[in-house]
Amino acid sequence: MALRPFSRVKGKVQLTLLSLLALLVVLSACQSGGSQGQNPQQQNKQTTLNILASPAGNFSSANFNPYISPNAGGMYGAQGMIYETLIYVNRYNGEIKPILASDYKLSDDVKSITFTIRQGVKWSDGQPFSADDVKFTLDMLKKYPATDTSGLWTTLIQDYAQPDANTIKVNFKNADATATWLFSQTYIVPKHIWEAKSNPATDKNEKPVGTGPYTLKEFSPSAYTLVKNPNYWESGKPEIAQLRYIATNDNTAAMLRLSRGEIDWAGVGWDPKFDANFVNKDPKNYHHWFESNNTVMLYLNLTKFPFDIPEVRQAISTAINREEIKQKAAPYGVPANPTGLLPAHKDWIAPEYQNASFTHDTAKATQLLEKAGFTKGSDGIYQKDGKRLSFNMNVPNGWADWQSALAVISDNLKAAGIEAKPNAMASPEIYSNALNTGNYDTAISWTNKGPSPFFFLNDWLLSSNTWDQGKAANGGATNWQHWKDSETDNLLHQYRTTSDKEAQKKALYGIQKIVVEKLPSIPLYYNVSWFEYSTKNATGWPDKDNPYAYGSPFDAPDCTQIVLRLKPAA
Amino acid sequence: MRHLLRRIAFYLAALWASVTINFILPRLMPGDPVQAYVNRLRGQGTITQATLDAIRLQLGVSNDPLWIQYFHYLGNLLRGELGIATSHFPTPVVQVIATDLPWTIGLVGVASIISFLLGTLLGVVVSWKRNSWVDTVVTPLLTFFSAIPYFWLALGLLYIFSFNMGIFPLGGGYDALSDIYPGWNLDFILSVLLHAILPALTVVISSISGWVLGMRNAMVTTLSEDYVLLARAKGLPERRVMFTYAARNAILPNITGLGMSLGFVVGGALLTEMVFSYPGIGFDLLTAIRGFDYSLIQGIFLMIAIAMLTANFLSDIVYALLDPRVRHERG
Repeated sequence: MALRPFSRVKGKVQLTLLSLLALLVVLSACQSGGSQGQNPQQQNKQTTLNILASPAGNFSSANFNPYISPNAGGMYGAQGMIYETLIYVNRYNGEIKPILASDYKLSDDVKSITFTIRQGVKWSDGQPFSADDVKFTLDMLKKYPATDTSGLWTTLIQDYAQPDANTIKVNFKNADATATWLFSQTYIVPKHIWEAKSNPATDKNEKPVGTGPYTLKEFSPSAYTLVKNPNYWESGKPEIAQLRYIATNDNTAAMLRLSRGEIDWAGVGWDPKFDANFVNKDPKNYHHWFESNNTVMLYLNLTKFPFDIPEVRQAISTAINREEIKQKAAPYGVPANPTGLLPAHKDWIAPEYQNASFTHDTAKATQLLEKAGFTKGSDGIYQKDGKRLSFNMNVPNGWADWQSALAVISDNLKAAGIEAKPNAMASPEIYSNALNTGNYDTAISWTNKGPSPFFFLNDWLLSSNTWDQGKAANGGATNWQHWKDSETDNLLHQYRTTSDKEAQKKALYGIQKIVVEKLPSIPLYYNVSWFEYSTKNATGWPDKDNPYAYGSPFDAPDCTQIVLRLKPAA
Repeated sequence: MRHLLRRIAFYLAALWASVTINFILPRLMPGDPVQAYVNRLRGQGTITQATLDAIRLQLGVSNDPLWIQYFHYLGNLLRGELGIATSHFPTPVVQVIATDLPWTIGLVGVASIISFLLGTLLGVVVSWKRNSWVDTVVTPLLTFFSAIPYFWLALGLLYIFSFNMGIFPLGGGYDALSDIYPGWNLDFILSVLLHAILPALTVVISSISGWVLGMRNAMVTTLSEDYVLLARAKGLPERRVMFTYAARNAILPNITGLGMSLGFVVGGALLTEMVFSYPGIGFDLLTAIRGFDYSLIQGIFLMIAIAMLTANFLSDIVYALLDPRVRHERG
């Protein structure tokens, strides 16, 4: 056990250090050689796009089951790139494009839909695709409810029939104009492979076989590559040879890689100060486009004092300075239209609210409070019957933009004699649990998105989407504020049961009037969809002048439609 | 031998205790794993109570009384079944850990050992040449480096060497941007080595001063012992006095420290993994805690407990080898 004399150790240390140094030099040489490996020759042969969908750590396993969403452990690309749907509904503008169905027809009474199955489509293993695969998929969703991620069988489908070999007619339980959207989220899987799976809901499907424009080439936890499907049915597409999805642990690392030009397509949370290292560095190639895609609201628990008093809700809304939020907290967050509808859905906004906007007026807020019987206490905070106008505003800790938005709101409300305390909660799960069970005062949160304003209004305002007595609605509440109003429910029902767009518009106009006048929650500003891209390797991305889709790489199957439009850069 | 047996009995008891605490702790956390999982499936239409129960079963969350769950848990542990990681559904915990553990051990383990060896050696040299320029420069300098908050140091080095100078890659375990795939090929191995240099350097820089100072202080005490004086008086070569007489005795506290730090290796180095986007256990643990993934939390804690106990056991053995008093229990 005797330790060696120092001289020899010293010699060894020096030797080790020297060899380490040598190794380092060799490695750096290899590295620089490696990165220049994309020589022009190779680039002509094939274009690879590096995609950074979401900084959520390493990919845990090759889980290409299209019925396990990326939020629940699935891999990006399984939905859309590898597996396709019958039809595609663009969630930006609501346009419908036939995919695996060459045609579709929603009946006039919206009680059934008929799909004509596309001919000449092949699975990536060479087997032909047919109506049998569609039937198999529908049956599988019924047999394994956990795979039925859009709730087709629980909410929509009564049964289906096959009038002839290439036609499938699906009958609904009730008239439902939203059926096209549900089918646009239902991925068709091959019968000859999936019928052998013992539980499709938990199967990892490590070797996916789909009809989509790409197939899996190689998977590793740090990155996986999808390669062009030679059998793809749309001739000449896709023009991009490979898609490579990259794992990152956090936004800072993602930022660094973007600024080094390593990434072609990203959906990373942004701040104007990042521009110096990205857009400003190479304005010709590096771009971003942040389009509003859902409305951030201040949700008030309507079952609690004082939010059950309409004047209090109006006072809170009037006291908030939305321009200040944009300046200090959400640089891309345009103040919301009082109806809460998105700019992309301008066609659906009632004529009287087309140009409406919120006005910030502290004096009017205090008048409203006094009208409702509140008096100012000695501490400067309004009160009624001995109860102070004081409440918490929930937000997940670390969601910096929302936390700073609440700081602005807190100051605004204080000026109007309302004490609103930001309440940073330990984790997003604890925070959403509070929302889902109604165990909160107020909270800042998003609204759902969809191809028309109906989807967000329905989730936000329909009575049956709320929690009750401390229990979440099945599948999680979305009517967090507990808005129960039969008139709203009727109008939502009217939209759902007609295929006449004018009648649908009229129904939504009615709901907008309720939203503006009664303020079920307080619309603040729009959340944007994060979308950064480089035109070095590919062109044809959606942007301000050609807004054909939200650009985020994680909206499936919209991302596939973007890739199909891309062309390799000259 | 008796000493060894007693230690083994002690470690078995400690293992049982840590396994039990491991079972209880996650269940004391506020929140419900099934609800957390369902939240992630938002937009799944209507989920009936039956589906919720099915998910519960799938995730291995049962409504049995705690003591029954406890025995199920012990039984599963013995069979090596750690359940399904809900945050990586439907991947088993064992697979999640197996994917990331080699990266963690490779990077943090090797860096810790390098740091220990370099630091201890430096401590010996510094104490031997006490009050020389080596001592007055090296010791405060290292203390200064280790006083820099780790993430700041790591980000700084990343900014200078990777971002500005481009000598090292920006992060990741290997070059995932070219067509390199994990396996026993030269491209991959070189790429892994290159990607490990900067993270390893930060780990070494931030931890080395502890070893140096520990060794230096222990050496200073030992050097004033009579047997060192005797060894010198006998006219033994200086190196021999330094290593076989002084250092062998002074290294004992550092050996304990090494046991501890090797035990911690398995827990991953979260900050390193964050800054360098390096694959590893630390980030898994973070996502598991955020997502109420009890099985994965338990799996990782179990690894940490076992690694900790093993490392301490090994350092006990080394102790016995280095110090005859421990061996003969006549301390």
